[in-house]
Amino acid sequence: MKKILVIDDSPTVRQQVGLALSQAGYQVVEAVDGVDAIAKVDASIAMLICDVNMPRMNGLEMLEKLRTDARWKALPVVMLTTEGQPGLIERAKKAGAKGWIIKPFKAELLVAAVQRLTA
Amino acid sequence: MAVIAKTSARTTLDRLRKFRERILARVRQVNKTTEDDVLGAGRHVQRVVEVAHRHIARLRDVLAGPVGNEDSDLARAIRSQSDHVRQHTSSVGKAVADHAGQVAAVADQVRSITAAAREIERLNAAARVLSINARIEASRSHGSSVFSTIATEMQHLSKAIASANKTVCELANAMEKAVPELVRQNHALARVVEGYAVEARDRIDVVDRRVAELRVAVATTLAESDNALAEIVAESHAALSKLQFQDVCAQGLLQIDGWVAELSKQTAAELGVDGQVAPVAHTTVGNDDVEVDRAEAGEVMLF
Repeated sequence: MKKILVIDDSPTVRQQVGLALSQAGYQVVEAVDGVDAIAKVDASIAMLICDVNMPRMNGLEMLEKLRTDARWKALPVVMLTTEGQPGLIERAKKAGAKGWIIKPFKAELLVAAVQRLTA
Repeated sequence: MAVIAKTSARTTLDRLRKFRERILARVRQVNKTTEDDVLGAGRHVQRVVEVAHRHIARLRDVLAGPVGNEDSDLARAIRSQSDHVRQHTSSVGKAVADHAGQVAAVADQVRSITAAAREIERLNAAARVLSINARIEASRSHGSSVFSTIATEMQHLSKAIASANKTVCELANAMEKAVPELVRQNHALARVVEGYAVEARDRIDVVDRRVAELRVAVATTLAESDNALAEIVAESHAALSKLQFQDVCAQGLLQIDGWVAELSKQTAAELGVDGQVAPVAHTTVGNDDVEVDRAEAGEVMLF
């Protein structure tokens, strides 16, 4: 069972993403912000779904920090956020994000994206 | 005047600070309430899906286990029972046919015995003629003891043969009468066995048909259950999508604090006083106004 790390400071979003993914057969690990995510990422994680606006370390900072470690260069990361500014999307793209989903997400589309990126 | 103006400005800033505190307290209270309720609703949705999953898994076990496939316990038991009945019916039919053959053989043997008895009777008649001839020869030779003895012995022998042959004939007659009864009983038994075999085959066919129908019904029911489960999951996804308003609203409400903080900074600057403005409760990477474009919401961009 593939393991997905869901990073969001909102427990409701973590739960909703977790339910959608677990119903699709994925195992979900949760982190509450970027700092927590960096601490929890390991070789068993198949993909990250990450919010942008979070306390302590936001999603883009987390992504940029993650890419400095050679082990996680190719780890798929999709941003899941209320933000939709082209500048932020471009920054995420440059940092190596594989996708950008604007909240509120549609569960079936999120699951389809995860299936495609973890295939 | 300047002191009074600065005091007034600080009072204004202090009011704004308290205003922010009240806004934040209320926003956090509202967010907590909606968060609790949305988490609760999410758990209910999860429970519905889990119950559906469990129920359908149980249904699959119960239905697919006994009759759902060729290798199930019930299917094997029915097949075994049908094979047993077929085999038994075939064995009984063969036994009845063998019995008919044996009865026919007995009838032939009885006919042979009757023919043999007739031959004995014919030979015995010849022996009686010989006895009479011996008696005639004895009287011609004035009572020759040799011919007289032969005539007497031949007569005794002929009587004994006649007596024995009579017994054989009676037995043969009795057997000839019994054989048709045996044949009739054999035919009756064959009809019963054949009737039973036909009935057994018909019933086995009915059972096979029912099992096949049941298997189709089980497969259909399981397919419908899978479709129902897929629908439940899809509906739960839709419900989860609807529950996402909480995070969007929570972030939106927290933006109010950012606006008041900005107002506080502007006010302090305009009034020319140093205002210590507390950091905003919800920092954002992008613009401060989080406005969700519903048309864009849910959009997935893969790079």
